[in-house]
Amino acid sequence: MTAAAIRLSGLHKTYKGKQTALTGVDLEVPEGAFHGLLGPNGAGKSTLIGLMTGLVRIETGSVALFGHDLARDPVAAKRHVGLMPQEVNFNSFEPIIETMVGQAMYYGLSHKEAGERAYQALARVGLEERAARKPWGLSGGMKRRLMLARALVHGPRLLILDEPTAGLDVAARRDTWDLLRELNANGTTILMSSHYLEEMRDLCETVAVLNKGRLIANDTPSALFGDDSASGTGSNSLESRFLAMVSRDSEDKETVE
Amino acid sequence: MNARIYWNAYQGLVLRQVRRFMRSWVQSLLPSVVTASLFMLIFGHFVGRDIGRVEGTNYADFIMPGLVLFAVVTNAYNNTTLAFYGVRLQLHIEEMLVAPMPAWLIVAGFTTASVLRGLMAGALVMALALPLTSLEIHHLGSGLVVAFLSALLFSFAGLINGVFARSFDDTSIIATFLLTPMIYLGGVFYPIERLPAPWDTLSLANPMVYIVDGFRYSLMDTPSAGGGWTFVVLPLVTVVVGGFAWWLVAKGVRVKP
Repeated sequence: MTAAAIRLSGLHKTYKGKQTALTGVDLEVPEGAFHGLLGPNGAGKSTLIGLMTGLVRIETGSVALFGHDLARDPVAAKRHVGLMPQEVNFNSFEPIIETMVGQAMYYGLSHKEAGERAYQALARVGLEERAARKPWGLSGGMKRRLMLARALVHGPRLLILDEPTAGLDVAARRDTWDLLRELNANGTTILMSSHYLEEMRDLCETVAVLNKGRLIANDTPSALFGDDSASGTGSNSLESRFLAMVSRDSEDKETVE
Repeated sequence: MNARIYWNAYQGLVLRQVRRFMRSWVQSLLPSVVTASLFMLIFGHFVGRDIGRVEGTNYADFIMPGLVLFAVVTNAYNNTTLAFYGVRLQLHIEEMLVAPMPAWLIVAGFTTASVLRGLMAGALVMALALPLTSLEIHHLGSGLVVAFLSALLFSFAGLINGVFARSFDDTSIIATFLLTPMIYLGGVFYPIERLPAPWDTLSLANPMVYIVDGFRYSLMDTPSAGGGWTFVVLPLVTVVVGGFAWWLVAKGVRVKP
């Protein structure tokens, strides 16, 4: 039996002096899956991703990546993970290639191998000609592509993407979708958060829905939104069905409370 | 297996940090050389002629070891402070936190680069000052040990400052109001024994006294005012301060919510 790519058990997180961000989240993502993470703003998606990648301190519960517990064996757990965060977080003062090589070396690649992989990853997102430049002149979309390239540079088995297509134009978004589909077809497990419901429906095999820090659903897009869901804002649209799901959960929670 | 990953990650981190300060070497390395040169010229030569001999040697020779160490410790301290605050500010510390790098490796990478910068600055000051003095190096080995440990100690201290700094102002407050007075009052410009009571005794609580003293002894073969405590106090304080710096990074203080 192969270990799940991601296994989350009883994750709970409260930020200092703030509201509870996550409550008892259990989730399992099998290896090779394309899993979506959906929820309104403040639902806890980024916190969940932070807990899975070591950016946020685990308070209660556990995270296991490919069978390695993140708290007990962080090196083994993190080794095969690539993260594309929501916020731009690369060094604006160093050339792009140095950012890429540095990140690859952090994952244990030699300098030579890191250099080769860096150019390959940049080429995959169409930024190879910018390699020697600093990232100041990059557009918002290019910055996101650079972050995707950086997440891919060490060839991760698990790719965690926090709103990867936010701010991309239509063509760049389609290119990103093609790249993600190709990576997934070649065996990369993908966990992706997004606000684009069409993206979730068209790319993901399974979608986990978070609302107010709780996992309220984890199912296939057709089970969650129906096979007849349409784009736009009509009554049978994806948006309407998603909003209905979240609002139903919020009402249920208030009734119980 | 982990050893290779760690070694490559360590090299990646050191390489990036060294490139960072070498990109702006005019701002990072030269100021301490200019400051030391001015001190040598003004106090060592113009004023020093009137001061006469101190502890059996001329004044320029007496202040030179302290000025070298001044360059070593201020460069080492400022480098980790600014580097660590910078990676926090721009969020690219996340590149390290998501990678399979334990906290000790992150601390080692930052401090190695800072030690290198400190020793480079010290070597430049020494190269410039030696022709202006009649000093002969008597104990090269112990001199290098003192310089290395001093750079390491202040790299750790700078890292602690970098962890707690909330703004750019905070990165210079400790250096201005604590580090610089400690250095100036640590026997760089005068022998501690010449101070009136109780200042001579109080000065012995200043770790800079042992550092300057040990280095001066190495270069000049003078009897040690610290009674040979340099090689006990310096490693001990370095281990304690380094341990605290590691603990802060391992706990994710001011980094991981």
